[in-house]
Amino acid sequence: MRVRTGKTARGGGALLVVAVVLICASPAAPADDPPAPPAGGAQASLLSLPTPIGAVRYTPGHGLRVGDTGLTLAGYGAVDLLHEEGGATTFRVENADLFVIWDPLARVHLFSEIDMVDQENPHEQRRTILTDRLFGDFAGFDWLNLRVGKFLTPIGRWNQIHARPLVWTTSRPLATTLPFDPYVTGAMLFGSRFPRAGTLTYSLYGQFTNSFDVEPPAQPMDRGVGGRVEYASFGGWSVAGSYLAFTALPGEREAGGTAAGDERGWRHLAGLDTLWRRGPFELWGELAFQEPAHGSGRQWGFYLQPVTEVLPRIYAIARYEYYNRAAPDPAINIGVLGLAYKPWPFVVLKGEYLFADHRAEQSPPGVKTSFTVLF
Amino acid sequence: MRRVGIVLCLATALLVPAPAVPDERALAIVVHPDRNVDLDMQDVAHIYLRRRRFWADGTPIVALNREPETAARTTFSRRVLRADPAQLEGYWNERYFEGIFPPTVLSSGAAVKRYVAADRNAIGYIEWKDVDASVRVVLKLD
Repeated sequence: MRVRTGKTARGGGALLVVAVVLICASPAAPADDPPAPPAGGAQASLLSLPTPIGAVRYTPGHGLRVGDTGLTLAGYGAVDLLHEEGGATTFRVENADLFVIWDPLARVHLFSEIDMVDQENPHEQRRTILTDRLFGDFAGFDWLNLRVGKFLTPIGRWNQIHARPLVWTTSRPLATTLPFDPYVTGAMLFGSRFPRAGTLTYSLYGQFTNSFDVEPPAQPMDRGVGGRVEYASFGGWSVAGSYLAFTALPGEREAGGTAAGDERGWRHLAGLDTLWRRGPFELWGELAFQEPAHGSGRQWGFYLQPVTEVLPRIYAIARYEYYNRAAPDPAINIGVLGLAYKPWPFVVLKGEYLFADHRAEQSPPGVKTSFTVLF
Repeated sequence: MRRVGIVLCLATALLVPAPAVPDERALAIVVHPDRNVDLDMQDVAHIYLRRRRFWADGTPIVALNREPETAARTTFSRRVLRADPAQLEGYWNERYFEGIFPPTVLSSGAAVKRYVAADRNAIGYIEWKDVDASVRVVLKLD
């Protein structure tokens, strides 16, 4: 575990002031609110126990609500069975993540995700208890919210919903993991406006403190600032653009993730992503382009992933990926064909075959199957 | 003469008004009587997808839903959210990953009406026939 501290007290104090101002500047909820009713969605509660602090309810896929405290315990798990071409077959628990969600006030949302088993690569040492996310949201208005802590980098779509039960394949596209650090430790302003027939969402963020509790990603970020704008239509499509300027951490890079060139200088990343849904059909696409401000080391890639429901709750997935790594590594073309079965909305069984013209350590060819569950 | 008769019949048929949806099958989007707000279908959809979370005066919105298998929920979901409740499962799973949950579910239209009548921040939908002075209708779904 790499824990780094320091240089943050001043920034932390300023953020605290902003959070307090946001909450205080916005009107408070009336003091005579009726008692909170039971919450719920499309799933029925499996368990409901009356207690002095309200009903404790468990809803599959939506966690355990602890009475009227605003506290929810939830999470997800993933078990993989993988066979690499020309290699071994491995069976492993890939994720067992616990969410602790607490909404103590209408304007305050606290969230943590603790990965209790983390082993991205079967050859690496298995780690336990890793803080994937830990942040607080302070809501002022729909158009202005503040997030402080460690959160997912808002680039592309996959990175922001990367939990295994939420994505269609066991493998992850290289363009969503190689060119940028998937986590930001810092602060973000975000919000939405509502033009006709859609939602316009923005986020502006910065990493001005050190990352904590991280496994070194392919492209670790030291300091960075970025933004994202997304338009989501009621018609079932969305399009978004992202930008990130960052400095990379030296000495913690994996092959294919970073480039030669001005290693300590600034790097720029631009991204585009889109989603289109109609009936049983869905298309995801993302593009990311990253290069240093000075010197060589450009890398870029994209993927396109159509998905269709071929039988009730059975989905066919195809994906084409291209990733152009920094020289001298060759560019890679990857294809994925797979099926996913969702017997319930919170359970997904997946199987896929991944083939490529060049081997990438992060996405080796072979058969990948997984069982994933939101709990 | 026969052709004139046919034309007259067609004209008569066109002039007879199409049967309106009976009010007992219509839904009313209701808020607290003190809540002076104009909402259209898209505003309501933003609220029920939990994208819009605050009223214009800055107070938090409390959206109330009916149970998934009810006719009212299905009608509301199809008309306002343009999807059956089951089709929104993927959307809510993604929001769940951020710790955002779907609107609160109440077990009857009467419970929704009572809650809305008591909470100035609440919004719900009830059968049109159940509307009375305890709530204010902001939108009618025929």
